[in-house]
Formats: sequence, structure tokens, C-alpha cells
Amino acid sequence: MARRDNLLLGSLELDALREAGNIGAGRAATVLSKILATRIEMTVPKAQIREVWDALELAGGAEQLVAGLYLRFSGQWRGSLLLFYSQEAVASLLGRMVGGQVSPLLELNELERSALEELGNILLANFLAALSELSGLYIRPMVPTVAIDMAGAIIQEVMAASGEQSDHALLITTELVEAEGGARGHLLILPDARQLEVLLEALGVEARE
Amino acid sequence: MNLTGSIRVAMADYQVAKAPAQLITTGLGSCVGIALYDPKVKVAGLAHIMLPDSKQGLPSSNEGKFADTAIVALIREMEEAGAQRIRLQAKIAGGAQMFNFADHNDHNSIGQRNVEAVQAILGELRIPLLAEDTGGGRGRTIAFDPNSGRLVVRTVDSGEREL
Repeated sequence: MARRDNLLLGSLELDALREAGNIGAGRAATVLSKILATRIEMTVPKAQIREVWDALELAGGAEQLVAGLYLRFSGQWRGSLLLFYSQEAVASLLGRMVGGQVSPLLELNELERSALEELGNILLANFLAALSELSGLYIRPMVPTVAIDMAGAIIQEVMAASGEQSDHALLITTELVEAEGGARGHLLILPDARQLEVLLEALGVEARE
Repeated sequence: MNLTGSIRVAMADYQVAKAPAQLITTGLGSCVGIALYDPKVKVAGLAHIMLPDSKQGLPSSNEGKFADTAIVALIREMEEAGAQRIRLQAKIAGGAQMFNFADHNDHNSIGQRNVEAVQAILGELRIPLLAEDTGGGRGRTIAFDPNSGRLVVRTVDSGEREL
């Protein structure tokens, strides 16, 4: 397979990726709506190839305190998913899941933290399941994990892990908007090196050389 | 941390500054920030490296991404700005591991490998490492002041400390 370090995707490829992102996001939103008994809408406004280090800007400021839900996946498609929530979004989501007053982001207790982890697990695993059905690729999600820290530091650690062999990342930005609480999350998809063409091929789109 | 008159160093990048300008880099996770400093002429350089070794993985044209190539490139640029290699001192921060995987057996995290690579390269180049704030589980923002030679490290939960 050809190296794609300088890959520029055409509109056809980007449309296919955006569509795949939408289908995955839709599935995750449906499941989340059921859990929280509220309406969740997910939109996929952007699919783009970015230089790894440019993606830091997308985190809404490198020093912004966020909860980052991180999930590695392997199988016939390999990469990472990273879902970001702000302090306000976490308070809104956890308030619905565990009830009562939610601790500040840096002081989450064991129950709140594991609820957040479980939420990430359900959302991200369902996202991947939909993508797997769409593409026909077997995708195995690993155990997700949560970090609460500066957005820049979180995204950077994930990129170092997935970008070890490549300077580029596919970022499909997904917004997860809770109809009532207004909790908004951002989902980044980071295929490992040379994995983007695997997905495009499975989706029936031939990437240009 | 005073952000006015500061030069921002992006991820996988390096910059050189003379006093009174400050060098700053935000959101170091497993990356390592390497501040080099010539106290006589007050020329400083800051690199934000992402990975330990340019010889692993695919070839990359980006010198700033790897510890080995970034430090060499940074020194070259500092020498052009009037610094002398023999006088250089170093302070480093970063190399954290924020995610802990239950099913992950690789104890040697990228952050730890980055720190070890930087220490080894500085040792080879005989540049004294005066202070470091590395490892742990927190992201860091750092600022270096070429006038005082101080490196300020900030985290989300324990405020600022000075190296």
C-alpha cells in the first residue's frame, strides 16, 4: 500500500468519512438518549486530515480543563477514539446518571469517575459497532480510560501514542448535544499510521494517490 | 505566569529567544519541554518534543518532533543567536502519563521513554541538567525566562512551581 504521509483527501473521501462518522455518532446518540432518558443529537460537522500538532487547536485551547475519554481499537482497523467533555458537560451528564450534586471535575469520586468511564465505554463502543457494520471491518474496542487534565496535554498524549509512525491524523469532529442540558462533546478519530486507507477501501472509496 | 512578550512553542517545534522575551509551551502531556540556556548572553531555547527517537518509525522531515533531532537543531539555532555550547545548561519538564490502561502491560510509557532519551542526549552532549519536573500523571504548561534562567511549571491542580 502506498504511503500517504502527504495525503490530501478529495471531497468524495471526506464525504464518505463524514457519513461514516454520522452513522457512528447517530448510534451512540441513540444509546445515550436511552440511558439518560433525554434526547441527544449528534452532528458531524467536520472530517479533515490535519497535521498531528495542528489538532491541538481543536481542543478549544490547550490549557482548558476537560475530561478526555480515550479508547484504543484493534482488529481489521486500528486506531484511537478520543471524546472530550467540558466541566459543565460532565456535571450535566453525571447529574443525570448518578443523580445529586456532582463533584468538581478535579475532585470526582470513585462512583462518578466509573460512571464517566462507563458512559465513554458505551458511547465509543457503539460508535465503533456502527462503523464496523457499515464497513464490514472487524473492530475490537479495548478498555476505555478517562483522564481529567489540560485538553492539550490529553490530546497530545493520544497523538503521541497513535502518531508514532505518522505525522498526520484524521480528525472527525463530532458534536454530541444534549437537548435539555446542553452538554456538548467532541469526538476525535485517530487511525493509526496507514489505517485511513483501510477504512476508505472498506467503505468502497478509492483514495487518490 | 506572564504571557506578554512571550514566544509560544508549538508541539513538535522549537524556538530561540533572548531576554526579555519568554518562551512558553502549553499542554505538555507525554511530550517533554527542553529549555536550554546560555546564562552569559541570556539566550534561551525551548523545544517541545513528542517522541524519543527519529530513527524509529517512518522517516519524518520534522526535526522538532524527536528528542535527538530537536536538541541538535535547537543548539544550532542558539549558536547562531550568540550562545556557546560549552556554557549551555538545561531544565526539562513533562513526560507524564495521564491515561492508565488496565489491559496495557507496557510500563515504559512514551512519556518515560521521552524523558530518558532527553537525559541521555543531554548527557552525551555534556550539557548539565540543572532541574527537572518529569513523570507523574499531570499535564504541564511551562514558561522559561532567559533573564532569570527560571522555568515555571503549571499544572491544573497544584498551581505553579519554579525550577
